[in-house]
Amino acid sequence: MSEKSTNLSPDIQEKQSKIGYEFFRSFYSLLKTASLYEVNNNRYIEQATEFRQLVAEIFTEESNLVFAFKEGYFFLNDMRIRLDSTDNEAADYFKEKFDSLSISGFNIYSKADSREIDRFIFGFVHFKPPENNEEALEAFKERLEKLQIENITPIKVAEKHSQRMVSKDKIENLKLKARKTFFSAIGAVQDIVNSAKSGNRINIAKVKRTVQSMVDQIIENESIMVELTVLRDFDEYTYVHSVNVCVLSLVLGVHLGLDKKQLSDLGVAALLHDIGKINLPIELLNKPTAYDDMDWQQMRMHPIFGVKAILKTRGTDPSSIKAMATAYEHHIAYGGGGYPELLQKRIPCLFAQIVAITDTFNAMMSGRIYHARRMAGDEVITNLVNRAGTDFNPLLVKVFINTIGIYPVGSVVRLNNDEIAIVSRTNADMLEKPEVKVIADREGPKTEIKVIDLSKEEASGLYIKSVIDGDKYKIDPAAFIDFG
Amino acid sequence: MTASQDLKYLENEIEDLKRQHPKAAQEFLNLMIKAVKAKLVYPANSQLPTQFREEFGKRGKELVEEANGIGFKITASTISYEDNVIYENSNRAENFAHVFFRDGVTGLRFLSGIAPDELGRFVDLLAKMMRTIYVDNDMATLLWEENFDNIEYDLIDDGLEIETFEYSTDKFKPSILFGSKDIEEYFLNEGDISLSELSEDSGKDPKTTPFRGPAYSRLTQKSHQMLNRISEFSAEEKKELAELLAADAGTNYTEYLLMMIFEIMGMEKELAGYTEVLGFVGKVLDGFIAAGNLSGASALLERLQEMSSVLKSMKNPRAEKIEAFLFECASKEKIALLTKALNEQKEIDLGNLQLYMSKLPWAAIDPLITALGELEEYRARQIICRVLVDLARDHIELLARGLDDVKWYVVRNVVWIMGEIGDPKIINYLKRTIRHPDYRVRYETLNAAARVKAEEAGDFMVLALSDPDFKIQALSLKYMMKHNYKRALAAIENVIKDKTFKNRPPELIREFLEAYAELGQTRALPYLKTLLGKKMFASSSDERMRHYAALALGHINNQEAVLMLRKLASSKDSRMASIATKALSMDKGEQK
Repeated sequence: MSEKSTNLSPDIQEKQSKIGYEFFRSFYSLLKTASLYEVNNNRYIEQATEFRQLVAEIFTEESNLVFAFKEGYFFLNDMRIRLDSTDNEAADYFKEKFDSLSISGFNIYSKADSREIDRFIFGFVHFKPPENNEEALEAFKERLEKLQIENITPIKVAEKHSQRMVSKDKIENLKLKARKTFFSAIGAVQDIVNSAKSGNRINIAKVKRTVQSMVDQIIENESIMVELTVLRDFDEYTYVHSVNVCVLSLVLGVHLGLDKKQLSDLGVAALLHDIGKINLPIELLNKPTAYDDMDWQQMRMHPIFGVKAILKTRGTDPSSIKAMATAYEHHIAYGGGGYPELLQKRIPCLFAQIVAITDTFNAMMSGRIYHARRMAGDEVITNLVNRAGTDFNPLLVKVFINTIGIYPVGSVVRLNNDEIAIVSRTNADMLEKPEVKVIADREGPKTEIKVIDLSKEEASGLYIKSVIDGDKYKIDPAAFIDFG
Repeated sequence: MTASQDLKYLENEIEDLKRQHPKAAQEFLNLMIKAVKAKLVYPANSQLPTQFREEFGKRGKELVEEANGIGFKITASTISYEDNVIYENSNRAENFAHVFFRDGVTGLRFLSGIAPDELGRFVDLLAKMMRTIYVDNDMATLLWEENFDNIEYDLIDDGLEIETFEYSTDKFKPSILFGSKDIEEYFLNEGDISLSELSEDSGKDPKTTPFRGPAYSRLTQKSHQMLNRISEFSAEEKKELAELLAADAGTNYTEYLLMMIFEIMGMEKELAGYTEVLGFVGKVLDGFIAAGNLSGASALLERLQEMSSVLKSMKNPRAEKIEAFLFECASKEKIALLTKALNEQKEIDLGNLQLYMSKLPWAAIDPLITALGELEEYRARQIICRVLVDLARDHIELLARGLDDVKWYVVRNVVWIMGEIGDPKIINYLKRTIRHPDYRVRYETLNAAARVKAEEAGDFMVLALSDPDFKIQALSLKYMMKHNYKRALAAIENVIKDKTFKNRPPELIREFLEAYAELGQTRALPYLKTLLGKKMFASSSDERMRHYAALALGHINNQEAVLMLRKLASSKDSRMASIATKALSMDKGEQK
């Protein structure tokens, strides 16, 4: 959902956008403070005053205020609130709270006075929804009624825009959809490769639809798609790798705040980034040992082959040019160096900078052939961090780690209770405490896999003790993906 | 009212309502189609597409609000509103139903709350899809990217139907699974980790506790600092991120492509490889032309021309390859591609068209003449004509092929170009068109001949005197006077003294007499005197001839003529007196 088009001047739009962002931050801070302090605490009073002033300012021009989360974005009175990755924690907080209540946001009317706002803040923060999610909204409404809150009303989530992830069926459906999309993307890459090999035009419309489906699912539930990226290629081509790079790039793109068109272009560029490898001999791609100078000489040609392949099979529309630039520059280092060797050094384009990170990340995580082995999660992150500023844009690395975590999905870890687990989901606000699947303990493999969210209270005291080299002990995270 | 009357009344009311809404839906659809067609038909500088787009935005919104939302069902050839077909077209071309249906869009809903600009963007999108050149976009993709707030669509998406897809999830499951032995081995090897950070209270505060894992324990100080602050973004970092995104949004991807292409060309060590890359450059050029990106196309040619001249000075064989490529840019295929793009995309900046074509070699003359016959846009044809003036200056023989074109307007354009070139050599070619069946070509031929400052041009004027079209005869007389073509005098005399002369239109007669006087001077005097002689029973045409003869006298720079005019100016015939006065006041220089 994009912001509504208006006839407002850019100045007014900018002002509204700024107020929307201030409202989002101020509301979140107030709720967090209310979860820790009493209503008469100075810190709370200070923040509540600030929040009320902001609301009063909005009411000078608007009769009511609608704060809502729709189709992956937050809105204040239909003006999209532009967030960046530093707001992930707050965004996740609202999303989770809204999900648990089956609401998409609130209406705040100008009649709401300071006392009513206080009652609402505490009522909202400390409300524990019933187990049965279907009854959550009704129970919450009852609570608001008891607190005599009339001028702040929850907005029931529309069926079409439902963000609820709590229903088991829904999770299963999402997993099924994600699997279909993921495999469809593999099919799309296969078609691309076949078209490129035969010199036929790539059916980009089909590729775009697949990418768009990925974007929709990443916005709806990022972790389900990300979990699939632990899959690795089982033959000489790089179908799965390309899809993984696509998913990871889109996740990074979403966190950077790219719009749908940009995400679509980024996804296509990521899928095509290695297309030049179709011109390399299979023996080279399959080579199990380290590359020698001659091998590297050939390998270094694939970005140029990529440009030629895209030119041959696509047009010169901006979307294709971005794909060419990505294929051409994804091995050019951010600080200079890399390949192809340019006479005049320059920083690669944004998409190439993104794909450089996600390509390297996936190559290390999945242990593609010329990397010899799959690296452990901590090694991968360390590698990225150590190369930030030289090989990669340090800011993008930072945003990326914020999305994939300190222990990326697929990392094999040992918990402090000596259970062995696989990281299955990152917690954006607690990067060191992801969700894990416990697969073994000192006694051996578990017959039943247990999922633990280390950030939750029920897991308190549990933490990651160490990262394990999964390959060394034949622990393949792909074996534990729940495909739905 | 009886029960049956009640029922009838209700039924009528429902029918009325149904009639109202299809009317609104029909009006909505008509306005939409009109706005789209305007975008497809009118050139970019026309106000009409904007006007119709705005009209649809404004009225469309009112209609949607009145009907509380308008929804359409779409098949390959129809658009229906509540089971009433309100649009039908069985042809594939310009089919507003098929353009949706072919990409799986089977329903459209315009919701209450829609903004005029949203409807405007919808028109832009639809116009884009109605053009055949956008083969890579499908309707579903564009609707998704546009992300409309108040336009919903139904999509039959078979793209993700992969039940029969060859991959199964089993293929991704590892063949070897770890077992108890592996776990045992792990705990044996690494069970007693004694890293310093593994204290009981670790894991509580990530800011003070290092991250777990052998690799993290080996992190450099700098990297460790970065990881510890991974979730914090300073104002400076936020600004940098915003700048990074803004820089990307402002990238000129045409320039980027050219930069990449020329870098790759520079990296090619072998001549064969160079030739291959030039082939890709050809694809780039085709892509630019097809997309109407003529500024990109001219930038590409300009860089190639610069490169060629540098390489030529170094006697590098690559210069020849580039020259051959540049020559190929003038091929009929390339020009045909350009013509197609110009016909399909009305918003192409024609300033860039001139820029692009000014870089083409003379080999483009023939294909450009063909383009003159195919281009729909008048301004584009005008630009091509201007470009051809320069291009054909030294290749008139190539240009002359266009004189045989079956389309009269192409021949007229070529004649115009020849006239602009103004080389006396064109006179020979113009002889072929002075008898062209279309008078507009003959007319242009006279104009062109007049621009050539050669004696032979007078012959054309003489020939034109016998043209069946009086406008051409008049034009030829004007040019005769203007350029003082004395050799035409005899021909004029012949016409004037012919019995049928009087049958010509009065204005033409006047032109003849004036031209005769102007060119003949004293030689014309006796004849004019005869005409001025009074007849007892003069008809109105005789009177008119007298008046015209008096006017013609004004062109003769001679005492006798002046005296005659003075006498006439004081005659009782007020009309004649006025004409003679006017003729006397004629500035002989100005007359010419």
